Amino acid sequence: MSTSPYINEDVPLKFLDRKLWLRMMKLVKGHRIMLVVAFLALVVAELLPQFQPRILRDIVDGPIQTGNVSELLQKCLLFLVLVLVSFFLRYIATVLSQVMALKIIHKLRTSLFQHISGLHADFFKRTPVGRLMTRLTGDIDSINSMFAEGLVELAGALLMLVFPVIFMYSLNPVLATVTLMITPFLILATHIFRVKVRDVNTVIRTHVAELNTRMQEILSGNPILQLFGKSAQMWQVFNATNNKLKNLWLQNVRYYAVYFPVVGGITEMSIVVLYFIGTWMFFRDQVSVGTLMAFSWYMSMFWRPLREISDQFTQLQAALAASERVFTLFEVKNPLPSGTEQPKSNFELEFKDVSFAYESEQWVLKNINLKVQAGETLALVGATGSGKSTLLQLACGSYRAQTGQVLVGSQNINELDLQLLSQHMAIIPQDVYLYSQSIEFNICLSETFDQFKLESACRAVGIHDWILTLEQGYKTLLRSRGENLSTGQRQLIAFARALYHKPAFLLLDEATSSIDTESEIKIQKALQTLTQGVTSLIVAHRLSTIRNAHRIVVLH
Amino acid sequence: MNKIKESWLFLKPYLKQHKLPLVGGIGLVLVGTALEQIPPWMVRNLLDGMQSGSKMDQLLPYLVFMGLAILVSELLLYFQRLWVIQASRKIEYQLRNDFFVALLQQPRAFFDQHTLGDLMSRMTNDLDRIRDFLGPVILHLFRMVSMIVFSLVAVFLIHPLLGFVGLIPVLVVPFFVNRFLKKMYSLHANIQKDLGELNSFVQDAVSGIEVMRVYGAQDSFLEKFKNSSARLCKDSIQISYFTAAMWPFIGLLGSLGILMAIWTGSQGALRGQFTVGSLSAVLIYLLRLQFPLAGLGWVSNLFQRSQAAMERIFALKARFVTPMQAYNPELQYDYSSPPPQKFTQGLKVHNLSFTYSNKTLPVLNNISFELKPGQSLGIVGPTGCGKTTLLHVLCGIYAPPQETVFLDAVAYENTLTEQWRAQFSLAPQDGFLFSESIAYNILLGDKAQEFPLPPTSSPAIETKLQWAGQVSGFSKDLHQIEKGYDALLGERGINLSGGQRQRVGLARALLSPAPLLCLDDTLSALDAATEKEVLEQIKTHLQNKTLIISSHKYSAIAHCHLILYMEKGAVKEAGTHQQLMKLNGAYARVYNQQVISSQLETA
Repeated sequence: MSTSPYINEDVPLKFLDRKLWLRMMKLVKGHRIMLVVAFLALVVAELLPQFQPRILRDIVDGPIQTGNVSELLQKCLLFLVLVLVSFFLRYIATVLSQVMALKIIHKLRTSLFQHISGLHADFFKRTPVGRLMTRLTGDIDSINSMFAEGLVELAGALLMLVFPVIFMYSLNPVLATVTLMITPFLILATHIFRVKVRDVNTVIRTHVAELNTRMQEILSGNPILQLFGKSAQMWQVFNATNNKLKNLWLQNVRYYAVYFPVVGGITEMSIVVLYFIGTWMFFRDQVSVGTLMAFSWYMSMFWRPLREISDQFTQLQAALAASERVFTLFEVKNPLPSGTEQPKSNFELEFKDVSFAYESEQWVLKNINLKVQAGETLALVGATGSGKSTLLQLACGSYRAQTGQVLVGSQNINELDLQLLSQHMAIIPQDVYLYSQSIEFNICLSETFDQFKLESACRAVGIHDWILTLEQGYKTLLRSRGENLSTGQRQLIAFARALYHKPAFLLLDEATSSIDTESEIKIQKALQTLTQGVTSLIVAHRLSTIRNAHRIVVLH
Repeated sequence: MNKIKESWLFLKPYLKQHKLPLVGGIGLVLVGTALEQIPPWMVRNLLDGMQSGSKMDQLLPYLVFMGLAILVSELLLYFQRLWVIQASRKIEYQLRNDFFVALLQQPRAFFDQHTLGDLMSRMTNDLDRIRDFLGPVILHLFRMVSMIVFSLVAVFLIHPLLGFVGLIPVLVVPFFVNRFLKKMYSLHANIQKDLGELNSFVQDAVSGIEVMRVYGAQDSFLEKFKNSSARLCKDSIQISYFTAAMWPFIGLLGSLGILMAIWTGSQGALRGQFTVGSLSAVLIYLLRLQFPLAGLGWVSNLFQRSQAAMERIFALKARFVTPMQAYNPELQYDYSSPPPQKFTQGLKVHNLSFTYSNKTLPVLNNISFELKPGQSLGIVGPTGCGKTTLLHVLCGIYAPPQETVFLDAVAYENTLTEQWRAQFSLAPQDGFLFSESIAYNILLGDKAQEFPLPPTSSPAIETKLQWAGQVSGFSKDLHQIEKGYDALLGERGINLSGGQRQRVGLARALLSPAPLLCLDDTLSALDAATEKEVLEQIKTHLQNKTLIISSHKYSAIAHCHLILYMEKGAVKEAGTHQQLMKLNGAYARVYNQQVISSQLETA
């Protein structure tokens, strides 16, 4: 499904990839103290409860036999202290790791956005929006859960694995060794299960995505389907995927249904073995009842984290894969970076012997020589495919000509700082893009703006009065792709947007779809206002535009 | 309460179909959990035996019994999970199918009132939640409850006082967990708002990144993004102070319960009221209770959430205009669409007024006209005059009021919806296309074409596509498209311009055998020459079609047998082109204007 040459979905994950871990550690920079404190708190929080079984052993072998109530009280108080302190430390560890994770994510998210917004036109042409969305949202969330829970839980689980073993050995090495011999069986069972289930789950994920996409599309296009009587067939297409998915899930359930009893059986039976051997050793005076009780408690402490680690591991892997993808995106760079010169304009636009091809050798423009004088309005006409829109792309620096020079204000565009240049250029494409934000944001492209400038731009274009008739006026939210507006209104907003930014250059690609007569008139007027004294290059489709231009150039 | 009952009653037939595995599985839960109580009991006997001097071979039976109980209960666990959870997946499959089918049958008016996002959320998230409930949640609920009950009974049998002491965490923990989760989810709702805002800005910004780039607005966009992200970060941090406490606190409560048991039990053992073995058994029971207790709180919260999901699904079902069919596993759904009938007498519209169901002002006012088979109707007028609405009402996309629209003297309300729709073919104004190949999109119009499409094209299909492409004028656009009809549209493929999308829609409409062909502004996107050509083609190849064309280029409809000039939903002027020109009214005015501009254009 991946089509972008810039983004690779299936990055093979090497878990011990040093580079990846280094980058991850870099993310943590600045929060090192928090991380260390959290980790230490966690270590102690996991260590303290390990003493509880020992205390029990001491009680069983001590005060209960001797009848010493005050000793019993002492031991119980100690138990209480351990419990309270470890609760407190656990809370601290969790809070710190969550806060740290949130701050890291905020920074990461912001840098990624900044990086993406600096990328070049070709990248966006070839990379589906959905992919970028996943990077900025889903993948970032994975990384968040890794830092917030994953790493800490994993560390905790590992500790909860190691500590009981140490304590068990300190109580009675023989018993400890014997009971721990079960461990390899457990690990083997878990491993086999994980491998089998991972494959099924991957296929399930793909199918779920497919099902949702189909559902969404069929529902969107349902009016058409109903009209042509194709709903039933579409349902069958949907059902095929739904059915497949069901069968995959049934398989998944089977695997889990086997896994839990097997693992449970192994761990529980190991306790039987423990008691068997323990009893045998008891009759040889090698082990006390108290020790046996403590041991069974340690064992129950030991088995659960072992199972949890397996889950944490899978989650961690997914998070690492997400980070790998995010880091790869950071590595995407503009192959032809923008120049750094300041634009000092004499407001002329010139093409000198320019040839351009999007793909190798498929020349869209050949040896174009064209000069637009300062303040002049030039209309470009020609058959579809003659390269008119492409000229505009070159004029604003979205693409670079293979041969020849594009001069903006007598400076070679390749040497100019494109971001600065963009601030002096206004470009209006054929299909106007409107954000799902307020009208004011759509025009000013910023949360802070000049209200007076905004209103005068709208007045000049002829939409100010109309905006005031809307319930929330300038703060009215538009729907993306401007669904609640007519084509004419969208064009006018695009014009207001251009006018607000007071450009020195205007590049306009006129819409080909027809607009009703009243909007036509408004647009004509607005265009005249917009091009007043502004160096304009217009790909024209409307008669009025052509008539009002200073010069007309025909492209073949 | 009533709503809850209603919604579960709705599920009943689905549950009934899987009665055996569900009930059987739950039965096994009870047996299995009972068996799980045996090992600690055996430990008690073992330890007491050791202390009172029994021999090894006297103690062996306890160990054996313990092992057996474990093995059998694990085996039962396998069946429990298999039966119950598989049943829940099968129910999910059926529910999703049935709902989707019902959705597909809803009229346009229904979809106007529900956003796609909302519908998708119910079909995915809400159904998932219900399935989770019917499977894993019910299973764990029974396991945990029976575990708790049986363990407590066992502890009570060992010693009532210890049992009582053990009761305390039982009462507190699940209650606490439930309340905690409730508060957590309501805090999360605030986060959801922040998250929604951030994500929708991301979606927006990424889709419209061109605009940001060409206006050099990177800095202001970054600023907005940063602020949104910072808000989310801050609110999330606030929540985490609260949520971080949950598991540690549960652990705390559990440990306190154990401490109390140790204190009480040790004192008792000290005074000889019961044995060390009993103490050990009780501790094992209590240790085992920790997880189910917390789990109970979690499960009850899940129950509440699936309630909410159930209510949402049920609310959706209640809003269906075309009612959802009651579940019947025997029922075979038949959605074949009827073929178009012969159109012999004509289309009659009589005093048609129409208001959208969610609006108050009428969009169509008292429209009347008659159209004979084979004739053509042109509809013109300024933007917003109701042209598209009229077409939609005629096609049956929106239901007209009674006694207003008649096909061959039969009113709309007296015809089966599918049959009515089969009479019309529409090339709509908005160019919605599926993210499939262009061929796929065009062939949707062909009644005889089966979907999914066969993997390889056939000469018959090619002929149809060529013909449709030629008549619609789309074949001209095809030159610019590398893979031709096989080109994929949408995110995985290419994007067509607005005009191209309309022409694909036209090609699709042309393939339909329906006797009435409606074109909603489809020709306006073409230049004058191509427009003329397409009209010629249509007249030649589709002679017996009855045409209804709406346009704002008057040249497209000047040839029609009847022209309606509409303003604000009403017909202001009607007649042939000659009659309207003689009238010298609004129609004539606009027509003349357009003639002049087109002459200049071609000059």
